Amino acid sequence: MTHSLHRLGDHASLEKDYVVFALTAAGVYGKDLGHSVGSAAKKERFFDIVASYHPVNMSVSPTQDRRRLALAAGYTLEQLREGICDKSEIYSVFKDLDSVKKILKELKKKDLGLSIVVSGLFDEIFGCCKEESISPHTVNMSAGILGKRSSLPGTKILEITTMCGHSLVSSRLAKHLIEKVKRKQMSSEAAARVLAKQCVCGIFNTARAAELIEFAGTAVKG
Amino acid sequence: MKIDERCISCKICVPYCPVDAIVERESQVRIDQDLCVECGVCRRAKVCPVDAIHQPELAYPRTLRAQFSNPVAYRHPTAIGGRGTDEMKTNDVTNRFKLGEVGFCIELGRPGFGTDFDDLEKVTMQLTKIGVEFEPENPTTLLVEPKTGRLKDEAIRKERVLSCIVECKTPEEKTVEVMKALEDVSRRVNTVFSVGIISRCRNGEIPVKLILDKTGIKTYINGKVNLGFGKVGMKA
Repeated sequence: MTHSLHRLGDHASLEKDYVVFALTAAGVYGKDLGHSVGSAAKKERFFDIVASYHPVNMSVSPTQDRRRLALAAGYTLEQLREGICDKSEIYSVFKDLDSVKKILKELKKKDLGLSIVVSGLFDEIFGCCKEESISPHTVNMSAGILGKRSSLPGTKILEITTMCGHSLVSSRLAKHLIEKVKRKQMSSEAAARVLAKQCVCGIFNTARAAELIEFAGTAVKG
Repeated sequence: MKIDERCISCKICVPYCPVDAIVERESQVRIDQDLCVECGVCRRAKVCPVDAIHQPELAYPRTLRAQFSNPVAYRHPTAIGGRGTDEMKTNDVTNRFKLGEVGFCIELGRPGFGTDFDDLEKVTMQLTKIGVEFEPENPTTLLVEPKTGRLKDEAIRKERVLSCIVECKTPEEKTVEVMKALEDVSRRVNTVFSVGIISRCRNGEIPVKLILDKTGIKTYINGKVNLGFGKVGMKA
């Protein structure tokens, strides 16, 4: 699962796009490492920390009843928190580095024992780590897209749609909504919310999408 | 997914499909069953004013479409949930990728293009030739013969999915060889694929990045960082 990797954009745009998530290892090669056992309480503490920094999207998956709950799908923070269980993965999306810095500082202090992953600009994340004396453990880098690239939509559309790593946000829908925004039939924020609803993992950045939609106005490739 | 006779051809659902499988034929809106990857987006969007979109019961091998394409589908013919593993996200606990190893996540069909398993086979056969270690807990690993990379079941060859991930690892020194192999096979596939490269960090550096830079292989300015906070047995 690599759903927060491959988010396309330039440095200025990606400065407004960070995903912070917490999870526990289900096990490896048939061996339960015990990481998840009793972890719900720790995940609630993680949840409270990230929720206090006003994420633009957030989700808990799977919940106690195996649903996925995301702010963008209309669930409340309270509903998300209630769903947390030992197996939950919690994703939170931020539009500024400052919040991420503060979150990392708190998480280091709390030492919850959860696996914490930050998705975003490497130079900024490594900078935060240095400031807080955190030694990054492992990275996943994108080497980009290979194959029939000529069949893909234009960069401006991909910058929007690649914020859903499962590709559930269709490029056709993005183009359709950009046109509606251009014709002043809806706001860019409303268009971003429609797109975000399709991303069931709740890692779609609605704030950045609204900006990209506004900006994409005249640059849409057919 | 299917659209039933209640459809009023309003076409509101059409742009929601990530693979353009909702089509109009003879003034009727239908879902092209060859193109549909069973991702469920059209139904979950709840935009149909007459509730004409439904999920029919699926039989193998079509069930694979839902397993790989629909993140909220819970029936898994390969017995492994979703498209892949935790890869590096819990590596601070699992040690799946050790110092000196490099991991690859080759995600066929992404972004938003879709793929069939014929293209999966092209990639796994290419990688098998250079001797990578496929991730045993990844569902695509179960679909191919480990020694040849060929599909185990010919019946799945033309099944389409929104994406599927090949996960494998090699010693660090084979990084460039794997990338060259992927470049090579990229000219023969009928889809796109996104490549993720996983590396342990050493003293705040990414050793594999230095190898890639030397050979001119570019990576994005953004990606995922596991902070190394994971521990087993911590009390809340």
